Amino acid sequence: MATTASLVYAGHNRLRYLITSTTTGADSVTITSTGAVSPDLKTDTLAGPLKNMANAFENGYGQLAAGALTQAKSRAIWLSDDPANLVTVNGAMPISAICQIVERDASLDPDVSVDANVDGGGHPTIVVNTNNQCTAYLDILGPNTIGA
Amino acid sequence: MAVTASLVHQGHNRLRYLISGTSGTATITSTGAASPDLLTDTLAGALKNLALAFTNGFGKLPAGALTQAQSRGLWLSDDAANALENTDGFPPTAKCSLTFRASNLTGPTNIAVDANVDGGGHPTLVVSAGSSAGGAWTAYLDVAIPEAIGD
Repeated sequence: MATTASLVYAGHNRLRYLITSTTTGADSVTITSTGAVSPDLKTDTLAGPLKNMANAFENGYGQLAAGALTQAKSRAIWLSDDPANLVTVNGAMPISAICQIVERDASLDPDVSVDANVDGGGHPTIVVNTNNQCTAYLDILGPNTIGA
Repeated sequence: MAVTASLVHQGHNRLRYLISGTSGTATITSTGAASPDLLTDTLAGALKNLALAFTNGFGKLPAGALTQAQSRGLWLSDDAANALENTDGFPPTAKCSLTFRASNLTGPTNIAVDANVDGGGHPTLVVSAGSSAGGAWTAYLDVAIPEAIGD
């Protein structure tokens, strides 16, 4: 009884995870960005914009300084949700990611959702919540980039 | 609580709205009104050209009031009737997609997005949510030109 995320595609501009939940009721899986074993954004990303985002804690990103992030900053980077312009530089938003869910088996109405947050040390995380047993794909991508 | 749409990302080829609520609908207009409005929120580029379809026309569509089928052709890339295609081929059109950020964990929540027009024939995007037994939810609506290069 668990929810897992397994990397099934790693490109320079997108990652795809298979989300599998065997739990009846609410559950979640967290994708870290500390360089731990997969699923981990630093470990799983290839060179390119997604790797730069995964290195935000170490290198900063846009006008963000290196160091611990907040949930709002994590959402700006990984969900392109930056109404407060936390990442924007000189009026321009550096490329940011979006996360999308495609349910593969939703027969039990799992209402799969995805949010960005940070762990206790301020490293960004991607958290997928499920409401029932299911399989689904999580796509993390840099929109409008060239090449996979 | 009604359903609301708040712009959280504004690019030349994509917009992202945070949708919040329980049940009901949120309508994104294209009249140049306060955000959320496609004419107000889009930057120069392909999406802006779509938002100006009422004023300037688009593809082989003349300027003026649109129908729901034409609005779907523009904003959902649903142009089965070839209402937009001109002699140069099919102009770039948008697609819309929804992803839950926090779903209702105590009951079914169903959300959908469609394109329509207002009473004056201006295109609209309508996000609708069915009955939500367990409370509020949030989701992102992406309005994007697929395969366009650059944000």
